[in-house]
Amino acid sequence: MTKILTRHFFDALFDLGFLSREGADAFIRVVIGIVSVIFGFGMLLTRLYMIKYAALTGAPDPGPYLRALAADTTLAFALPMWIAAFVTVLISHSLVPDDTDFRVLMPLPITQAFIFRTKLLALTIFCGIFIGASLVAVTPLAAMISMSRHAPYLPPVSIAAFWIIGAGACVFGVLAVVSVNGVLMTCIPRSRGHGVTAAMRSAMMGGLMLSVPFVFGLPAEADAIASHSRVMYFVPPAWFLGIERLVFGGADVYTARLGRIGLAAFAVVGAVSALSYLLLYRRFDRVILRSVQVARWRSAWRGTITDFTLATLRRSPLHQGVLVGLSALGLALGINRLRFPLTYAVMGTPWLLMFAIGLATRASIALPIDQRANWIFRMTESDATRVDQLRAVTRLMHQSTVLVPLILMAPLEWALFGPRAVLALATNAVCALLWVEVLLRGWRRIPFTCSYMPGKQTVAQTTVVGIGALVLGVTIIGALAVSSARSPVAGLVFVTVLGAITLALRRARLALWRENPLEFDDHMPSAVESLGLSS
Amino acid sequence: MLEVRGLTKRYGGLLAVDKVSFTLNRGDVLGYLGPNGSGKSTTVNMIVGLLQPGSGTILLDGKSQSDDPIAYKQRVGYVPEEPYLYTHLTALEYLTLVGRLRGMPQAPLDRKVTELLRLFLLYDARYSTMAAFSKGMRQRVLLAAALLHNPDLLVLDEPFSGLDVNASLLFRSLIGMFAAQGRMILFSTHRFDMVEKVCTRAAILSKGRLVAEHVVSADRHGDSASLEDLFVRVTDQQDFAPVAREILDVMQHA
Repeated sequence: MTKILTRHFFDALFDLGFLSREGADAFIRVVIGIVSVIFGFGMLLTRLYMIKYAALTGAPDPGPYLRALAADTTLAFALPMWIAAFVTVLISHSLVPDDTDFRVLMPLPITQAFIFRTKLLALTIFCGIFIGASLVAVTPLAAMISMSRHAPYLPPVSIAAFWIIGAGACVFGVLAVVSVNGVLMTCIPRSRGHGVTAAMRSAMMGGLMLSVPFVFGLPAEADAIASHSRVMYFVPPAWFLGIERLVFGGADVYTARLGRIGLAAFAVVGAVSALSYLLLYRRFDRVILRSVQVARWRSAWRGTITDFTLATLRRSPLHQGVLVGLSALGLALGINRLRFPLTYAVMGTPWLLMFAIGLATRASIALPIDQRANWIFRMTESDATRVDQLRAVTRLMHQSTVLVPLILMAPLEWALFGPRAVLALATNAVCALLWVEVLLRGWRRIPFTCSYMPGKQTVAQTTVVGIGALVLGVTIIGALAVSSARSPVAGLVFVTVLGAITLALRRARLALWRENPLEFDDHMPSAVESLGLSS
Repeated sequence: MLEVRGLTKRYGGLLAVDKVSFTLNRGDVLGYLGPNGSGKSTTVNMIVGLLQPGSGTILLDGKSQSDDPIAYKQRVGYVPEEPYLYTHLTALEYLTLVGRLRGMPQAPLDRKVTELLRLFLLYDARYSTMAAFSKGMRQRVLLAAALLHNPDLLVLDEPFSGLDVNASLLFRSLIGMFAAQGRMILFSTHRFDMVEKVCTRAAILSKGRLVAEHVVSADRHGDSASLEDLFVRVTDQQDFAPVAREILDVMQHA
């Protein structure tokens, strides 16, 4: 019985709720692709660190090695910890049995304790798989950095320490998310609970994405750790470096303090999580009305599709999460560049923002909501209104992908170029408009109304193309903007040429919209290419 | 008048609807009956314009649906079998969305939406998202949405499922008065009692073919079993008493 219900809860954690059967099959392929990319990344990271540590191990002075080891051990804890927290945020809507479980399972001759126990078991297995996989992926790195004549522990002890403390760091990541959700679910009034937890989920997703450059920047904090910087007291992965030193020896006053902070934080999130589960267990009926939501204002109508789009983005945790999470990744990469000279920041950041926010907006509106409710759009589609309806998509894309990055970048570009920043901003604007046209090539969908088929390309292919576009865009668009600010003639030429390409793409898009019906069903690209030879 | 002539639809090798023809006159309420999988929903989806017929024609007052599908759809109101609607919207937002998609001007639409919400007893819940609505409340929203643009033809697919007694009585009265205004209603359902109480005629579908048409009005206050008997006869339904006995046997012994 335990096995059956645990299996049911476990399977439900993979159900995203918005995919068709074919889409769910395709999603499994995407997950396999992502896992292989993570393992590939772990191997690449190890290879890169081999070069660094060969030099450090060979050096007669153990100081540089020990400084690097402390920072890189913090990174080794941070990576699986981040993955564990991210996965938990993704399933945070399912951390306790939901209203369907309540209605379906409670009438059966099983106890409430049994339902909660199996749900917790399923969650543990689910998170355990991701924690285990991420620890395995980072183990070669942890093993490699500890194989040195200067290392404080023997390699088997180092690997055991990494696994034990790393697992603890992951559990901390999970419990931190659980405790935030638990507090919200128990303290927020039922009528507001759904909206607030959805907003918090997006905020946590955004926060995790914003932290990505800082996680990868941890190896650069070797000097901060060595100089006993107080900033590290606010960096959770550093706490686990302290715990490792406390447990396995080698702790000084500073790392011991880091460890004690970590243990206290662990105890707090553990206690809050346990307490909130206990409260939810005692007040299980709270989950029944979790979806009540009140919107007491009436929107000033901006357009049928625009209002529908904004209402969905405001209220759907999934769509909000995708938009906020991916946009935050771009913002984080942009903020990371601000640590370098201003020219470097101004050159790359606009494209990072446009790229991430554009992709985030497009991905968000491509995912369906209540797909079978789209019959009302099917019934009312007409040639006369289609282009106007679809213009809501371009408006949204222009506002998010063009306007937001320009507003964020304008002060920085002004600080660097003065009045000539106008030319750089104009070049950035045309590039952003061109990017929107590229993103909307072949688009014929009202937001959220078309089914979605993930994995039309392999994950590896998408990753390579994405990274390539990101790197090339940073270089090319950055160079164009700087050249425009320095030479007005060059700026005019860039704006004219890019503007002409954008207009041509726009014309093709509008022709497509005028001549073709709306798209409500997504398809995998045909495996067999038609040569179109028959008349 | 709605005329359906030789309507056929095939899904791969499966013939879902086979040369179905019937007419629906102004003032008529046609009950569309059939067992599960008989092709009722496929026919309804073709009539409301959600599915393209394989062959056959649908004429509304002599004008073919395929000649001007937009003008045709402007005259049709539809309540789907399941309450498929955007549950993250409030009822107010959903009705306004539907009205605007149907091209209604904003000011009269606002007035109409407010009145319909009040009359369908949804006004107090107008700021709640429909995720919290019961099935009956969602059905009421869908009926309000179907009436919003003053249609000539109302297509109802199991509209009474989930409704409480008061809402059912309101729906019945509404259907009667709607038809009395010279409009048409196609009423797809499994429930004989509702057909006998609400419809003027019944069409029975079996295995994709129209197998019987029946005038209901004469029997309305008479022998209530007549339509059911006809249904059982023309759709080759088996005698269910032995099946029921077998179910009880399995329950007790298996």
